[in-house]
Amino acid sequence: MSLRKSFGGVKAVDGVSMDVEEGERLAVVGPNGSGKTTLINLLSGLLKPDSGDIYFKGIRVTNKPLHARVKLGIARSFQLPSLYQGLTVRQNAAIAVSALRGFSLRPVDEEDVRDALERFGLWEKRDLPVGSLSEGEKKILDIALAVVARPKVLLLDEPTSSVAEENKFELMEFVVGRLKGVSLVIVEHDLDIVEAFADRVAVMHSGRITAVVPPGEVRRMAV
Amino acid sequence: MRGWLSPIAIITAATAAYFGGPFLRFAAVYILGWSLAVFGAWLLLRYGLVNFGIGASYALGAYAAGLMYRYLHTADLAVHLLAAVGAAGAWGALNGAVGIKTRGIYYSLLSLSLSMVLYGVLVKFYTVTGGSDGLYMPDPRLLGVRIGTAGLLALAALLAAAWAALGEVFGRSYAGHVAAGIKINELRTSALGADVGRHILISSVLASIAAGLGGLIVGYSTSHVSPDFAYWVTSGKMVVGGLIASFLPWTWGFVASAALYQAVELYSLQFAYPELVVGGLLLAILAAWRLYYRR
Ligand SMILES: Nc1ncnc2c1ncn2[C@@H]1O[C@H](COP(=O)(O)OP(=O)(O)O)[C@@H](O)[C@H]1O
Ligand SMILES: [Mg+2]
Repeated sequence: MSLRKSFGGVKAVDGVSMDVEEGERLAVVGPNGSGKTTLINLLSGLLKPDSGDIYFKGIRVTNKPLHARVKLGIARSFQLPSLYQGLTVRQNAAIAVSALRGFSLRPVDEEDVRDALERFGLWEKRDLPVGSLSEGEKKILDIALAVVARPKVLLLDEPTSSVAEENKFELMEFVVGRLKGVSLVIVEHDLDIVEAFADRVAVMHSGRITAVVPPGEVRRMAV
Repeated sequence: MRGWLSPIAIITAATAAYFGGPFLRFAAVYILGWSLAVFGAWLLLRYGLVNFGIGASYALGAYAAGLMYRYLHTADLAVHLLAAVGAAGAWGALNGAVGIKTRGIYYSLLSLSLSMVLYGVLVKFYTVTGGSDGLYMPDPRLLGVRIGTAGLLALAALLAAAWAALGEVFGRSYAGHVAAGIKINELRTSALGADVGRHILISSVLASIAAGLGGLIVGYSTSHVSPDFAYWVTSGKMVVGGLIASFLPWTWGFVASAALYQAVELYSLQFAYPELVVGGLLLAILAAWRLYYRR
């Protein structure tokens, strides 16, 4: 493994090796600019590493494009919710359902759209434009779109950022409760949340993972 | 039922035109042919792609038939249709493959450049293509019988109706939703599992075939095809048509848009500077639609 990625002179990810177990919830913590988002981008296929390899269930996926990794079972959410502005919640979900179908002229299966939204309690909001959702709801919809692909690993980049402090815990409980059995890689700043939801914690610093510890010990590390 | 509205509207309008006398018959064929090129531009606009070379497909559809007649001496409609679909489809695949990584203004410039290469070839290779004079287009024959004006109108209406039906199906389909996704947020759409390049490639081929069939119809209606079919100004007019169609709430909007444009162009001919009149009126129409939809 030992992933590396530089932007010009900046070594954003500088030799990272790690594994995620099936069903495990791995938190990644570290200061701003330590390379967490870049790591997620490498794993999801948004960026190609300068060196190193990525394996998923024994298959080398390093050179597989984003969409091919989704079909294998690697999905992601975005730090800033990446929704289809100007469209409704239902239309957003319909695009997520359609994205998995190839170039098909068959009509969109409304049952699938409904399932995707009901799972995350968004069916009642289906006719609202996504711009009118609260920050928390946007985060949830962003994750709901990613989950349509039934991923085996879901990469969550700061799922609680931009959500009000008092709602973060509730949001994570809601989301994680609906993702039983899915391996999660969670980039998160809030240590209360890390302690409550992670099985293991990777601490990142200047593009390197400096320690992997159980959640109870993360407070003793200088983050 | 809703899905049949557009094809029925087109067939009805064509039937009305048939009983409206020789001028309306000719105009209807021309407009329906032109509308197929507008459909091609419109389809690519669904992905956010502005193809300023769609006229190349339009030209290839007509030239394929003209060359069949010139070199193989066949006016058989089935042969012409196959040749037009093959030539335009191959061109669409080329355009799609070359443009697969380009977006926005780069895609537009690339498609424009490709079409101008074709334009140059059509003008330069006089002995093969007839140069700037173009080629004669025969009256097509179906099973050995000339299809005549009525037959040509029926052919144009059937083709436009078929593409309208495809447009209806596309709008509700998985593919149509992916197009909307690509237009608004391409990266997100690939992160949801869509092979964006594949979608764009397939639609490039479809758009090019539609435009090629349009060129074939227009070539038949004037008995002639010239390199002007591939000129970038021709493509620009088709893109404007596609834009207007995309503001219209019905799938047959591509035919309405084509009719509107041809009417405006005809009307403008009585003035000293017809281009100014066309340009001014189109701007006014676009502004009016934008205002209407903002409310
Ligand atoms: N697309 C990019 N182009 C140039 N530099 C980048 C890019 N993405 C990230 N970086 C740089 O890489 C480093 C790591 O960034 P990032 O992975 O976003 O960190 P984090 O998510 O941990 O805050 C930073 O120094 C950042 O400025
Ligand atoms: Mg980040």
